[in-house]
Amino acid sequence: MAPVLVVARLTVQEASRRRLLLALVILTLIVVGFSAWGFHKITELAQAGEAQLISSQLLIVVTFMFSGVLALSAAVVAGPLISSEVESGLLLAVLARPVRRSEIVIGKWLGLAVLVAIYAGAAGLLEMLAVDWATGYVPPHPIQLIVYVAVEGLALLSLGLVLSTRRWSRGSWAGSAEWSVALGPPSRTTRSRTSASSAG
Amino acid sequence: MPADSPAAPPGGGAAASPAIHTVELTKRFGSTVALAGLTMTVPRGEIFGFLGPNGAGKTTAVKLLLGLLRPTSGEGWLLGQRVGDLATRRRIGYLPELFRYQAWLSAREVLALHCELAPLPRSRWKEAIDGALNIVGLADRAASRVGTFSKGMQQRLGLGAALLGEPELVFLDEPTSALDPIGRHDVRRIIREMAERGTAVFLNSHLLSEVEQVCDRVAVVDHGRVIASGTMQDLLSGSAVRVRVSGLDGQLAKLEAFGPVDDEGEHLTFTKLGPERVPDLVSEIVKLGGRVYEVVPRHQNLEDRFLQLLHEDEPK
Repeated sequence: MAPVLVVARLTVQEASRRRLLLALVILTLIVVGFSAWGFHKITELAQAGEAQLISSQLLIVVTFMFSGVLALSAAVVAGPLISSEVESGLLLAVLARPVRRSEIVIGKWLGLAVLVAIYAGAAGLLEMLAVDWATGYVPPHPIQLIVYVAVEGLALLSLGLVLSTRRWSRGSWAGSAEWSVALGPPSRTTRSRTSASSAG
Repeated sequence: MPADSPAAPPGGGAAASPAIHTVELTKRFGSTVALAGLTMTVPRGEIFGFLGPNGAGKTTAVKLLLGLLRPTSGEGWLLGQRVGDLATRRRIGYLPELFRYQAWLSAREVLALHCELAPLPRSRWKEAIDGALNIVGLADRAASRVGTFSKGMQQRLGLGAALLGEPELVFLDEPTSALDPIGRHDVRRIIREMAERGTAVFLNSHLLSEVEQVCDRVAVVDHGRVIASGTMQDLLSGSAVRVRVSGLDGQLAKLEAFGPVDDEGEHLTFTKLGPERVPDLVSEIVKLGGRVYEVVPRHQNLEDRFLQLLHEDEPK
């Protein structure tokens, strides 16, 4: 397997073995459960015809909450990722293998990106199914909605990782350019956010 | 400057080229000089001890050689290829001074990860991993998570990872820092076995007795420069004199004609003094009012030589 994929696999493995994913799944299920109950209440309280409108507005709010939490946790996870692994010595033994530094950064990014995408897809789908069950409302652009949530997480993840490697290079490590060039600017991902913002 | 460094860098002829060759390798961090022109040669298949006090530049030298840091100036070759060459790293093992391995993986999985990155052909993984686990004494903990390991066990695991695939050159940076006496004994055995198989071992250490027991050749660094290098025999040809004495308070400076002294209270070791000068030394001590209980001339050991070298290197 190419080193990039090895590092990506290792990143996913770490998240799953450290019970990070399990905790996230449980919390998400609780949130979806509560929101389903809340949406169901709307249909009982609102007058006919109003429920649809309220549901659509509320789904936008809930989506923002999801994307906010996802983006925040992506940044928190990615921020200290590489610099802390250098400080602790975890990367030293790996870097002495025939592996480029850029391969490690891209591999880490890829692993986290897969996690963010899977989470955004699963959580978004679950929430829409819950709302559909409770109110019968389905958003007009469900795929764009999920893409929007995922892309926001990815953008902050990329930024966090780039900054994390730059802090590293400012310390004792040479080749800061190599590190920051490895990922490229995150502008491409932010641009696609505008196209998805009409999703809710 | 070592006398044994060839004038021309070894370019071609990978088989004949030394394991390590450096010319004026220098690293600065801002205004701090970590390594000030390292020039040395490590032959293939030898155990090379790299000695120096804390902060002498030992770990910096290892990181430069492995391509983990870029030199400010100077050049280096590993196994005939320029430092930093990616393909050369397939033939190299490394145990970092600051060792830590993925806590969420088992010992076997960590070694498998290194097999994959090395990269070794998948058909050889099982044999290589089992071999490494046996050599470092972790066979019965192969399935345990690294997070449950003690520091010593993690260091053993790191040594195992460095040995995978029978590399031609292994860097061990303070390989026994977390080990108990049994572990240290094991590591010395492992190092000797590697050398018997033809692996060159670059042993970075400040444990002088350890280096003295296993190394064929040593270099002593201080303030980022090599201040002495050669085979163990070349380096330890001198003799030393150990004296047990009292009543010399504050008068040690008057004995400086007898060379550098290692002052350990009641025991003084004149680290570079021939036996023929013992009578002069004793009469001088007596003249200063000292009382001599014991005088033992002996061959210089590595510690004597090391202290002498550092003493000579001190800016006057």
